[in-house]
Amino acid sequence: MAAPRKDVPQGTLDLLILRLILREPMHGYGVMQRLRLLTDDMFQVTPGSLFPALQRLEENGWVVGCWNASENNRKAKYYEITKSGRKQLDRAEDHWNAVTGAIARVLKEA
Amino acid sequence: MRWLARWQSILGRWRRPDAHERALDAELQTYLQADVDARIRAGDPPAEARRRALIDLGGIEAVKTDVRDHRAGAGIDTLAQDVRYALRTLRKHPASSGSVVGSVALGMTAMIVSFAFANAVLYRPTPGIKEPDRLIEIRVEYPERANGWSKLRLSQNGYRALAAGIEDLGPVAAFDQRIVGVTLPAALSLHATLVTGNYFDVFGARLAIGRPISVGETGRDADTAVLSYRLWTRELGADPSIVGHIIHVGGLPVQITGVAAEDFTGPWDDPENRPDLWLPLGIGQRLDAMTLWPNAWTRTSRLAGQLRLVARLQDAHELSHAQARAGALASLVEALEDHGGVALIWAAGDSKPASTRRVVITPLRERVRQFLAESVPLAMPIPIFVLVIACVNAANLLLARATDREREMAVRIAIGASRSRIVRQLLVESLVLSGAATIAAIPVVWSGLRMLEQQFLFPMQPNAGVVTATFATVLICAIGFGVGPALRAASGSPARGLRQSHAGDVTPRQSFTRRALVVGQLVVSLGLLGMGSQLIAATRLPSKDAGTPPNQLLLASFDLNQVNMPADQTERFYTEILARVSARPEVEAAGVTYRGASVFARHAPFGVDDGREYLGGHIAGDLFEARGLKVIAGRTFTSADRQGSRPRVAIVNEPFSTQVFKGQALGQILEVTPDGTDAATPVQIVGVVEGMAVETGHAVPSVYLPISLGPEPIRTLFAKSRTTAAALMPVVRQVVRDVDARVAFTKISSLADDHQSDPNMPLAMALAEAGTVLGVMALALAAWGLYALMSHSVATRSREFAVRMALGAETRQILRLVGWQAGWLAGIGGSLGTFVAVVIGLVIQANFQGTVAAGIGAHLMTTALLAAVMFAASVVPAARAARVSPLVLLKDG
Repeated sequence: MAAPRKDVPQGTLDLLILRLILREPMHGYGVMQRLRLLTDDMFQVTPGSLFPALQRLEENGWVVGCWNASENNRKAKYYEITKSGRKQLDRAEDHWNAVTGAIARVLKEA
Repeated sequence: MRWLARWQSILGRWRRPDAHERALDAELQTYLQADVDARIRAGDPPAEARRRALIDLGGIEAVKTDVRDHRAGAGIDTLAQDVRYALRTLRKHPASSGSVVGSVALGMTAMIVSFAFANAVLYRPTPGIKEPDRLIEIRVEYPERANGWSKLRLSQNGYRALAAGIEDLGPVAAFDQRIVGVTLPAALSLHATLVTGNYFDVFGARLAIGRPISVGETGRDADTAVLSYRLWTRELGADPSIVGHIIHVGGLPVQITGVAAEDFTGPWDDPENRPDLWLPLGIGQRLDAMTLWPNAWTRTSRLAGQLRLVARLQDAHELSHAQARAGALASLVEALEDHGGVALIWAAGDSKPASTRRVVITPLRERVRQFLAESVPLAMPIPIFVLVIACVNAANLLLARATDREREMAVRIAIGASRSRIVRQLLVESLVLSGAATIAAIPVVWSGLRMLEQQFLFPMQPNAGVVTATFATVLICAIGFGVGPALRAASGSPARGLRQSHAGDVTPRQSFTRRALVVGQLVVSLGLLGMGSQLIAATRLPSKDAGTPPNQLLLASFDLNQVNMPADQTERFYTEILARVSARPEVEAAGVTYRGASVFARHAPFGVDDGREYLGGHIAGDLFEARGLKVIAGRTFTSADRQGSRPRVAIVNEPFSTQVFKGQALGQILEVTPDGTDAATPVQIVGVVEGMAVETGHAVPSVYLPISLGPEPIRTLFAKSRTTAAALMPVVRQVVRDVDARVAFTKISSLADDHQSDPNMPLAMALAEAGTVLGVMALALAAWGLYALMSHSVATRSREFAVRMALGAETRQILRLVGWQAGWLAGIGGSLGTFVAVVIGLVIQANFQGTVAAGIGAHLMTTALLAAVMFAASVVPAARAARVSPLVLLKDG
């Protein structure tokens, strides 16, 4: 029996999406598949949370969306990280590392 | 720059909302198709692949909703959506929405315009004064009797002491008023204001020519005068070379130094005491020394001996500093009087009042005309009633609509709308209604104020506090009655609302609610209209037809101080004048009185009440006949009364009888202290005369005494002409010349001219007319609201009528049914409303002096009108429904 899927820790979905599209632009379905693959399908990310998150990143100017042909030759909206998106990713990564590092230290040494 | 990006995104979406929605849809379709393709590749059959992909997606519309709810500016989008929906709903019910908006707009207009008018009338700045906000009045008062504080007559020492105590805040001017005899060379009796040297500076008053009154080199006031613009143009032909000329005031030579600007008429635009010239304060004592009436003014002239102190603050914000000084100034006055031995009170003859003093510092503008100060607060609840009736209209229509919309709410809850969403929607509807009413009211308020400004020639501004309170009332009413029932509907089970098989169906509970609303509206309207008519009656002028027509009544005033006539001769003079004028064939009736005099009266048993001042005074001759006042009860004065026979008697007017003795004044005993005398005399009321508009523009309680109670040098002759007052004028002039050629008139005019010169008169009439207009407005609003509610209630029964007609009922029977029901509701509501109106009337009568219970005739007419409106509101929509084929009605609902 597969382990029950868990919610993405609050506030980290934006970080994960930015990181996933850092290497190459991706469409919504691609982001979802990649996330499942890399996390062994651990997180319960639904389209109902993915698309609002993509919209939020786009509204903040951290990603831009443009319509291109997909691998199946269908038109899909690809999201590409912007310069300010990269800066935001750096900030979010630093923050995450600091927080998880601190938690790890407590768990190890307490 | 995150916010900039967000705003760009919001604006982009607003610019092209459809494109945005299409893009979202395409993106989700792509997502779905990609998932379906992946599942097919994994071996699922296409149909199963699509089914499972759709399940995983959770529904395209649901995801779209998530995206919409989370995007930037989502709150604004929802609000806009709600507003659009609200406007659509209001358009769907144009009659009831229009009624709510229209009646609330009218109510708001009544409130804002009435209060702006009252505010402008009570507090309008007097013209010709620079920065009136910086002027304050300083008064010294002492506790008098049990009913409050009275003003002390200050001496010049008192002025100096107070001025020194407050001089760091600004200069203080003092002035006094009196009537003086002036030779220009024509002998005239004129109103003079005696002023300190800094008077014109303190008021910031300009001069048309010359310079203000100056203080002489020796410190003593030089005998100089500044003329009023009116006197200069009227008597001296506006001759600019008049400056430097010598005139004689009370026999003293005085040099004219200047003429005041046209718009400056003293601190209060009081037509009775408008100054003709200004003289130095110091001249007063010399004028007094030349009269045969030592301290004559203390007994006879209400103008003189009232040294008034006005200061100009450096800054208008210093009022609180000045007021904080009042306690210290009172102590200073007490100390000077008690220990310094300084006579701060002008009249040596006055018995020294108790030594407690209080200094009162008020902005000069707060002084208001007495009658307006009395009438305006009484009239002010009337616009409030108009607004309340408008709000009751709105509330009932909103309640009726909310009851009808229970099914709509139930459907929306059943298909997934949250209760908060529904409440928000109705809140927005209420706000849209209030907003529409406000927008509709703005042009009406604006034109109403401009119209009043053109009529009265002084600026009127809406009062911010009243506007806020009005808007808040409307908002609370709209929200309370728009959202309240929806909350109730939303909190119950949607099944209840859905049980109605059709939108037009009416449950027994709804039917009861509608009838209760109609009855409630009728009861509230009748109660409020009864209350309003009672207050309107209290502010109304007595009938314009009552009394002698103003152009037929001649008024001639005299001040015998000017010719230094000894006391024993004054009564002889007036008796002679009265006898000769009365004997003339042109004269119908004539009488003598003292205009504006007052009588201090309290009713027996002594000591039960503290009494108060009433207008009235001594009268001689056929004054009541001359003024056209009918004796309602008892008798008029006889010659025996005038010769002082016992018991002493008095006649009161109807307002006095109503206010003091609840209409039973005849035979009652009063203790009176006529103005200017100290002795209290018991008098018996032997007659009651009609009340009528006197100088103040409306009937005030008055007490009249026969002339024998005391001689006075200042009196007015009232002569009723058989033709016109103008024709009588030369006759009266000739009579006076014949009796004593030295005596000049202080005023001679017809009552009509007297009214015209009185700026209070149009205001008083406007106030009375405003009361009537507002009353009609309230009645119209009540009728309108009742019609809208009733017709709405009947119109929603069209499906029921269709069923009845399909079963064989005829139009006539339908009309009889609704007419009968309207009659029942009118009967119940009318009876309850009458009961409420009577109870409210009695409560008002018991608590507010000067009000009487509204007439039963007016109440019955109002009830009949509203019942007729209800009948029409039932029959018209029912007839309309009956004209349509029952099949069409049943099919379309």
